[in-house]
Amino acid sequence: MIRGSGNAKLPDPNRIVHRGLLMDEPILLMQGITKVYPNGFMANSNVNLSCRKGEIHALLGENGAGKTTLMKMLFGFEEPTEGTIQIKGKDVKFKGALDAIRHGVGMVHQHFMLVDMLTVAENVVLGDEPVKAGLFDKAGAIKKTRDLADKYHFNIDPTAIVKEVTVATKQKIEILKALLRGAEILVLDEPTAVLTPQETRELFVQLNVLREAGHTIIFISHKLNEVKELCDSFTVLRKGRVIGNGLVRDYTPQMLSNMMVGRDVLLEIDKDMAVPRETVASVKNLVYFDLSGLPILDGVSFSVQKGMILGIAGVEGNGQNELSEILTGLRKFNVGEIEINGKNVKGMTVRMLRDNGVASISEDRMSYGCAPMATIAENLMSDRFYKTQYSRKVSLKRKDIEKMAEQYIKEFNIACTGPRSKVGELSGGNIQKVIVAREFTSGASFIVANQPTRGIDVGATEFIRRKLIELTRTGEVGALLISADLNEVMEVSDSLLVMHKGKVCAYFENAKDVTEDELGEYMLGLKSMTPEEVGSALK
Amino acid sequence: MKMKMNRLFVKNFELFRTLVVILIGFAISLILIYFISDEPVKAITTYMFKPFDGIRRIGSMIEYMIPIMFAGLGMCMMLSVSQFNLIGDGALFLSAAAVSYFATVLIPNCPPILFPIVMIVAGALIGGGCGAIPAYLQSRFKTNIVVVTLMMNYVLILGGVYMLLYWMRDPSKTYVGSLPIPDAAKLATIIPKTHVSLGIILAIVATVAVNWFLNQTKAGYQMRMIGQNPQFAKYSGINVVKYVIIAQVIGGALAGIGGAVDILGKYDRFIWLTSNGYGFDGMMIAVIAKGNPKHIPLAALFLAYIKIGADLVGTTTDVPLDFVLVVQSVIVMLVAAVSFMSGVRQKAVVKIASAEKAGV
Repeated sequence: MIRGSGNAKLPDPNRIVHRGLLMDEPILLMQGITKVYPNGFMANSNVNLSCRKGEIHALLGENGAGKTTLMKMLFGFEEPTEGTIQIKGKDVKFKGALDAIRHGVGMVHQHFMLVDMLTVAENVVLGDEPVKAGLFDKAGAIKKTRDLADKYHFNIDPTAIVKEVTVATKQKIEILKALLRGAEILVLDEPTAVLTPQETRELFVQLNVLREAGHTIIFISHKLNEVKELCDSFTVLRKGRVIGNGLVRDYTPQMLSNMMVGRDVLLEIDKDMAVPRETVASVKNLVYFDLSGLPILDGVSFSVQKGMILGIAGVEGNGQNELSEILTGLRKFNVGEIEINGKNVKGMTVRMLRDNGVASISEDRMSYGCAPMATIAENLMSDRFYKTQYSRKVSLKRKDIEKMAEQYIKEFNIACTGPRSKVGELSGGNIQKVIVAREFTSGASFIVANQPTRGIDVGATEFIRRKLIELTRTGEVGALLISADLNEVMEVSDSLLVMHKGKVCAYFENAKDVTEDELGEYMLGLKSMTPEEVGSALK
Repeated sequence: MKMKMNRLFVKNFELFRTLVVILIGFAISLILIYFISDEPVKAITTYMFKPFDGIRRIGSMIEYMIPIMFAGLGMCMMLSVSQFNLIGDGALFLSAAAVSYFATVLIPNCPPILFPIVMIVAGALIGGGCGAIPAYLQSRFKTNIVVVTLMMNYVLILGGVYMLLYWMRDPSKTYVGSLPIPDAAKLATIIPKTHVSLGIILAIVATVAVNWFLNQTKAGYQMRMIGQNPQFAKYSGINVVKYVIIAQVIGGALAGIGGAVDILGKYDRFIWLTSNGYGFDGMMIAVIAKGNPKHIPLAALFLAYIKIGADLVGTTTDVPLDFVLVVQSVIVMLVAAVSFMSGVRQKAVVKIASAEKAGV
């Protein structure tokens, strides 16, 4: 999928085996690692991981398999309950991230830890600043950054302000930061999740350069084609245990996938053709300014029909969240017109909007989607407790509410001990199912699903996507699917919009008409359709 | 068998933790007495057993429980919406003063039976008003609720003192006190030889009512959801500002009722010149009860017990009264220390998780 026109120099597989097998000592050896969290969740159970110098090791597993926990222990964020970590044959015990850095472990997190207002060079040297006459040596910092970038063929401008650079550049800064501190083992936590296909290709070239230079890279991912293309060896985790490890070239992606989930994952979703009916929501020339007066949404127009799913693709932070918050009443907009079920929604409260047939899955499930300390039943009833079915004039009909909760727990396969379990004690996928159960059963005719499957396991993801499709195929519901996951937005949507810098820059009446690479170009703003073409999104 | 114990421990961890904390507080007070006192055995037995010695002393514990239960329930309402609103002390004081003023000066001839009811309602309204002000300021201007309520307490308490000095003082008395409160306004005493009034029954009714309100009603449900995650509440369509204010008005009203009930049940005249600290005692028991109204009576009983014990130690032995403050502070600190004993819990959790994994 990623392969193609890119100029990634693929290493000769024979040489890797040579290096992988004949190098004597592993540079990193984690043995018998067990981690139990205070809530009783056993995130890792007797995990072994070994990496050799100069290899790219894939750490595979579904979300919640324990990959991040394992890496947190390697980076000193968490202490293992049991087990040992050896680096270059020596036992180490990290008291914190600084300790790990000192031992040559560097980490590039999913969420970048950079100071937005500073320059690239300032961020790279942060914590280890060059000093001249007792003051920060700016020129020295720039030189240091440039030298390092040149050494590893990183194309980067040290004087740019971080706020203004792309996500891919931010990732490069993080890698450079780690390299500057002498990282020999570099952990990349799902580095390609935030990148477009073109940027991914560039990253792979750089990672190959690092491998050539003798660095060891642990590459966390669940994108198997990337692993197949880039990595030498792998370890698969499932439910906190090691399921398998070996050399990547000996396994097909299908075999790896089976190890990860323990069954065949359908990578494609079969669905009936959409039969769009009347318009349920239309957005005309929507404009929204943030507090500093910047246009976050700049003349967005589209419409959603019952019976279909309109997808919105785009790199995160191009106005999608603001759009979803405006459509669900959490945010007020400045200019434009939104009509839902024939009513102008300007000035409506969340309750009024919900009564007018809107339901929504928020992208931030712990902040907006649920109350973690409340029970499943209490979370399921939050949008409907006041209806006569569930309450009298003053008091709640507890029994009816529990019955409703039990029914949805069954219907949505929520793994829990009952309607009185606390939502915060469930896994991410099951929490999301609670939210989806509420939003999909509210009787809404317009559903805004913002990143509905982000960070949850494959099983729950598939389930939620199918439910969403099922719901729209009844012909009573129209859905807006906002997702940064290209696979999701392309597979699930019927029609597709691309947003870039607050504008709709592309519209595809049939989501199947666009390739991943083409979509990437629109997402990055390399290409853009004419206003007329985009305008056809509003019917 | 051991596994069962572990599971029981993890499930009821908060209860165990609170008990341990209380025991520690108790142990500290015993050690303190031992070092301070010249006759430690007498002081310690006084402290531990004298509060239960005779109906009069048990009575004084129950008397003490009445106002702090109301204040504690009020605080539970504040905590239900996650607002650390400390207006209870001032609200309780002001409504006690106002109710005394109504009963002595404004409407001293109200018919019996109706009289105490009118007074309690008046106390609730005044307390509710006190609760509304900081709640409104907070949601409208984003003022800090703790700062505003601490400052407002001075205003309310001195306002109450002003009422006593200039509106209802009995000039025929040499000490500062209001005119006598008419008998028709008073709450009946239910345990002879004590001042335990009907108020204790009202306090228990209030406990049941608050528990029912928070757990079984639509309004209570909305408040709890707001308290747990205001963003979630807003996203679900709950009117957050409205219910945050209502909860605090009810919280203030409960404290106000506490003030009214205390005055009508225990006093012949209003004589308070400074705060009794009932409001802060209420805050303390609400924290010990973790904001759960069901546990308020027990927490109140415990606080009343150590308070009366300390009173007795202070008056009948050589240990100063102030040491009770030390005990209280230690207990509240430990209860509020979220991760106290989390290590013990973690070990039990690890054992359970390991056993479960092995069983799978």
